[in-house]
Amino acid sequence: MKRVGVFVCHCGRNISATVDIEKVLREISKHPGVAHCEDYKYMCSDPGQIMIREKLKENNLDSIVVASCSPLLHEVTFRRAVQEAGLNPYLLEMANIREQCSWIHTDTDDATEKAIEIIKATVEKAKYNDALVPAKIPVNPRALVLGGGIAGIQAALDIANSGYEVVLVERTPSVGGHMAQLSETFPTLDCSQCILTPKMVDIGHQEKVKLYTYAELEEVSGSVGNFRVKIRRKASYVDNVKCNGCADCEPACPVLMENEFDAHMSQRKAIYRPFPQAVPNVYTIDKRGTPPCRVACPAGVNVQGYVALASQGKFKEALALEREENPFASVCGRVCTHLCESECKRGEFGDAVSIRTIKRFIADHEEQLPEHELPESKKNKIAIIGSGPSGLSCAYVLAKQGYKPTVFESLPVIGGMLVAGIPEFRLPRERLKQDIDYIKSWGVDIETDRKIDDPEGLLKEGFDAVYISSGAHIERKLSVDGEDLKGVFYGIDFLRRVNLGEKLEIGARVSVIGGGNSAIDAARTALRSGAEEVTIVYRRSLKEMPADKDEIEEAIKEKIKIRFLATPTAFICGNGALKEMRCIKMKLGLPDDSGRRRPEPIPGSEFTIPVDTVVVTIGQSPDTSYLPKDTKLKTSKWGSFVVDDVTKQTSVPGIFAGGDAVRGPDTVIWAIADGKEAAVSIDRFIRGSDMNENRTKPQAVERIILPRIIKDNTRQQARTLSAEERAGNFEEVNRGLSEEQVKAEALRCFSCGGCIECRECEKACGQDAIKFEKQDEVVEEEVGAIVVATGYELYPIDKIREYGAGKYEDVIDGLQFERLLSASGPTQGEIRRPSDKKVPKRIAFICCVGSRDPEHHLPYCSKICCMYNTKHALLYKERVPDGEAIIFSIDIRTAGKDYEEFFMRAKEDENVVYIRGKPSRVLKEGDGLVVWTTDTLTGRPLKVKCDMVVLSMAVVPSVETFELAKKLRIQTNIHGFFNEAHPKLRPVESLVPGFFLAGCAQAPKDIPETVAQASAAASKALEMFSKKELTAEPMVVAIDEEMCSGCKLCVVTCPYEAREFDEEKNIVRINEALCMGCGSCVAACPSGASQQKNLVEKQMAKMVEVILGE
Amino acid sequence: MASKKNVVVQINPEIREALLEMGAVDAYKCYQCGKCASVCPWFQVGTYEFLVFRFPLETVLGLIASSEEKEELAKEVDKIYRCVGCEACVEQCPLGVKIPDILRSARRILVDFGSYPETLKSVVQKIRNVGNPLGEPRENRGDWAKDLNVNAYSSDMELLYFPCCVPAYDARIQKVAKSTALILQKSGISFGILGDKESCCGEAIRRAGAENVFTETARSNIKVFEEAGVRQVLVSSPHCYVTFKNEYPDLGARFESLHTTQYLWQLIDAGRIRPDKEFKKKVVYHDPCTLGRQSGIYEEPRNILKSIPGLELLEVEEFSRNLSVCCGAGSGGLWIDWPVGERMADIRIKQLVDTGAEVIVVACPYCLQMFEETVKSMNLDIPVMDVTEILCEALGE
Repeated sequence: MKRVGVFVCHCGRNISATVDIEKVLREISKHPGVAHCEDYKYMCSDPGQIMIREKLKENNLDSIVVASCSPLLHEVTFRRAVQEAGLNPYLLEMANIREQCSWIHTDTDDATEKAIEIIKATVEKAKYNDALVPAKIPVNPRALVLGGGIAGIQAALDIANSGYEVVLVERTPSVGGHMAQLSETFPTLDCSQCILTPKMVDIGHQEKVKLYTYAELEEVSGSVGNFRVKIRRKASYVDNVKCNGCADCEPACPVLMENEFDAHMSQRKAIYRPFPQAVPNVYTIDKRGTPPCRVACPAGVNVQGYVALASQGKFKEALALEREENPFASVCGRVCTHLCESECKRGEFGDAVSIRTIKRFIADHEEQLPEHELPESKKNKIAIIGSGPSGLSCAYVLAKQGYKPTVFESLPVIGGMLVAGIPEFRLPRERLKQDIDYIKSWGVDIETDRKIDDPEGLLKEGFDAVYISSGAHIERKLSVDGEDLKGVFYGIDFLRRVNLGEKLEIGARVSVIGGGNSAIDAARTALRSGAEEVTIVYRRSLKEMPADKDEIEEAIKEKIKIRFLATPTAFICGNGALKEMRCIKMKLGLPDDSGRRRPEPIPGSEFTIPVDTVVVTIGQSPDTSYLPKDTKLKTSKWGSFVVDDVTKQTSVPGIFAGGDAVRGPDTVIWAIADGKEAAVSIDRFIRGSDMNENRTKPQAVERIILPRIIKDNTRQQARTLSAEERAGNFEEVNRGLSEEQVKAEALRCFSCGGCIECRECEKACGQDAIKFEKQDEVVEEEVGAIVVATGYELYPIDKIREYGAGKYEDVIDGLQFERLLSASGPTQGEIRRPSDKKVPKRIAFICCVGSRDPEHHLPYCSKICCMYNTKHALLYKERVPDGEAIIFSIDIRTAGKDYEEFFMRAKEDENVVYIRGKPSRVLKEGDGLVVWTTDTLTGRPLKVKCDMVVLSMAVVPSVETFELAKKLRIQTNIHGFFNEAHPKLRPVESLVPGFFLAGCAQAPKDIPETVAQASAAASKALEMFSKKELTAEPMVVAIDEEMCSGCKLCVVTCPYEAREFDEEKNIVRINEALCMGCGSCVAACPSGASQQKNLVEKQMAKMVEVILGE
Repeated sequence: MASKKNVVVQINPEIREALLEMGAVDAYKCYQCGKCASVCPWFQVGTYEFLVFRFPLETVLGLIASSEEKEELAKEVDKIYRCVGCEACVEQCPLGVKIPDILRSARRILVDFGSYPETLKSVVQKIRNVGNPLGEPRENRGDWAKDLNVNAYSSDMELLYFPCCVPAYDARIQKVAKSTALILQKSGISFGILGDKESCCGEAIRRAGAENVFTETARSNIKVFEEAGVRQVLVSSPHCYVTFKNEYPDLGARFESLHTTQYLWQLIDAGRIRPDKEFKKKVVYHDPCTLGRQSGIYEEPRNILKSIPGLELLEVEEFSRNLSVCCGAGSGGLWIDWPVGERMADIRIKQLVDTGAEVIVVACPYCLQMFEETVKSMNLDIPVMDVTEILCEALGE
């Protein structure tokens, strides 16, 4: 049996005042295995340690228990003491009778009893301790620094200057962090950039620093001394070596985006450099993804692209970009149902961008067709049936690839429904001709008056593929009495005849039945063809009406009446001609399959309307009756062609179909989309490749960055002809927007997707540095230590509604004011307020916004705001000497060297006014603002008028901190600031070895403190590097190979990936270098094979037994 | 020699302890930022200086209601009864200090000593004697329902309708109770009333400091409800709503409290009633403090109004929802007549009228009564209505 020595410490009176030491000694010496027992006043003192060493040898002890304070405090001390006396240090145990006993109890008897139990239990543990030998771990003397702000820069430089390599990872395209955004720094008013840029340049030039900007940490594995990290280098689409920062690309880029560096106070281009002194001094393309408008467009038109080009007056380029996906710019600029506008993010804040009118303008702006080189021609022949939008789109896409498509049209005119169905006052024929001519210019042959009755026959005639886009021309009937009377027309037939120039007999009173665009077109056409009174009769209500809202409005302007919730039941003849129409009133029931409420007749509610002409426009269906009897082309019961959803191929290989011939009556843009899809399939069919591959639509970009203040929420209005101007003619009613209007309208775009790939920058770059094919790249690095310096951001200003933030332009945050002060800022350092660029004559600075507000926001003090407010006030007074700066605060905290003096200077020299009181509201008054508050010192309620308000928003960890903490597996507090190992004594180390903290990622702090902490973190890393190898904690887990069943439960439980599975032996092995001794696996192991050294099950059981008195 | 008043005073721990015991528990939290004082409706009234932020520290120092001189004390009593309990300060306070609770504790002391406003004394007496603050006979409490064929409550019914004293007795405001009954009848909900068996919920007098009378009244109501087997109480007043919901359970109550706007919106939403008749007016909705800020019910009354065809709903920009301004009737304010020029309702009515509304809509009998009187005193020609009254019209009743 082991000979255990027990040494009981009085800790001055800390222990002995509550615990009866005498009694403890008496009891413990009786405990089995205790060979020696002694007390001392201060066991941790030198004499105490000497005593332990002497008694150890004297009594031949082979295990020691020191009963004193927490092992966190003195375990190291006593282990060292016994080691010097030749005992393995892991044979020493501490019994904590201070923190866990004397300090928390007052009753001596109870405390003594508890102390005895604690010591006895520890003796039991000590008896079974093994002598352990710590393993040595080699240290990779290379550091990773996360974050390129001043903290990261300082830490990286300190480490590199000591001769060790550093990998510096920065999320944005340049190092510099927030400090680069600041104007001057308190309390010395040094120019922030002037003192920072030399350090940034150093970072760029230091050979030992490997800089990854526009990069993010992806994954960390390994442990202290030997980490492996994966870093994602985001594609910047610019070659950093070739780019010389000349800025030629910048003016070429048409895309305006929010400028983060100016804290959203200005805009930048999609290709940008955050600021002129950026390190590295290169450009980055901000490509975020596919904008929602483009995703919404069935034809996938680069909507944001041509809108952006139009905003810069690049109408020719805009049109070219539009035509990459859709040849019908002029047509769609007029009659498209603009699904893009429904998804436009702008629409959430008022009117969507008027995309269609922009498109129309760029098409109309074209004076002559562009010249283009024709592609090398392919020999394959393709037949297209029908020259509507679907057929021509298909032909266009194929022709651009060098195919020679032939379009067969049964009518004498080209355009299908575009010419036959849509009246001239909506789509002038010369505009349609523009699009058709453009398509023809690619080498598309169109044969009019050629009706094809046997599509399959075309394949036999030598065509390699056929696309059927023959439309939908069979009119749907009402099936009521008198439908065949003279004077009853059908919509499409009616429109076609009028549109193709036939003079129809139209009476004075016309009723149009239906609620779609064709019904509106028919009504307006009737009005222009001599009708005196036109009424649309529709069976549902306005809400369900499928026609375009603009068109309905135009019809109403033209005095066309709409009779809702009614439907005809019979047409009645009088004197051989149509005389009246009997109708029944309807009511809306439950929603049908289309989601619209189903109309139901109200019994007994019949009424009659006198009419001379009726146009029934309730829809059409495709005509496939012409097909030969033995056709293999499958059709549906509605007469439409059956095709594959994705490829558009019919039941006959090589024959494709789309548009209204498949869909029934639908919109132009869907017809175009089908034609394009079919063209893709036809090309693949001919080449013999997979028609289904890669045909999914892209997802819309999710993270859309909105402007600071969302304004201009109404769209530009196009001029339309007055009712008089329209009367009796087919002049185009909508006259579109002016050039200025188009540019202004296009500037309303939020640029959701960022870069639009218009490649204007590529043309402008003289260095061949633009590389659109670039992709994200993941690089691996090995390091021994990681410095986390990921910084802060400001609490979002729009969370403070009572101060008008996010609503009033002149309510800004502290960083935004820094940008106003900065010579490189949006006003070149002149203090001008955002709304009207006036120089504000009184500015209210409000402290503690979001901070010190546990009820609504954050409980902590953000530490830097009192001082930067004072600095702001001072700098403002310097720039605007007749201005007044008022600071509203709860307290002014000036703890720092020369800080109080700085505060007094603001008061005495610059007459900054400090009001002690937290404002409750900021309201608009005239063109200024008014702050409601109370001065708590004079007790006077105040309404303070001012021109601008600056809110000192709370400091919060940067947005990615929570994600990062998970990846690094280090702790944060509930606000996301990284936790230090000890608030007093280990302020720059994380609890997890190998991680060091610097700057605001740990807590809000100012620049001097940040730099000091960064240097401290660096020196801690250097301390580690200087050791060459580290001693591993030996109290790791060991596996009893006999007992391990290879269930692998522990493998998934281990948070440190310290386990490997031995396939051969079917057991788990421990990587002792990675094991942190957390014990999770011990709890998880069902067989008890996982045991932590010197904390094995037997020891635990013995301890419990003693405590329970068994 | 007439002694001068001593302006240098001592900390008074006795008053402090008394106040803390009466519920001023938040006093130590406050850091005197003063935000409450400019959130307070008195700030908007602008003619009475009400430095709310001083109460917590005055509590800690034991200086509230500490004057021994009669005239000084009268001024203090006036000050302590200026708070209308709208809780705008509580909602905006960074630390969540419940100033109205601090003032209630002061009022409890004043009530114990009988040093509180005479009009309130009479209200407390009336509630104690006849169960309502108007002093109307108890037996007439159910008279509003006489012509409506409303049954006495029995435990097989879905709801007990508890109209609040003002709709039960006040000739104008009875229309709120009647409208509610008509809507319930139209929707086929089984409900009943308790008439003369029930008493005032006691909210206002509790906030005025009459804790004992409140407890007596509340206990009697709880007993009556329990004996009748009540599970759900529908109330017209947000004041009854919060009291039943938050305060009665402490006295052993076990029933659910529902405000009419909540319940009626549920009926509309579920399609059980459909307002078809047009109400073609621009209306502005005033958020009652007790329904909005104190109960978080902002959407339901608006949803009801939005479901009415033809109705155009307006908002008081900057001062709606949680930033709504009190009518001044809370915490006993209904019965205290402040001088002209010192009335919150005047300020609020101006804000409401300035929206261009043709009708002012409320969802609280106190607000309704206060605004009706104010509109008259300001010689304005604008109707004030309860949400239930408009809904009842839109249902064609």
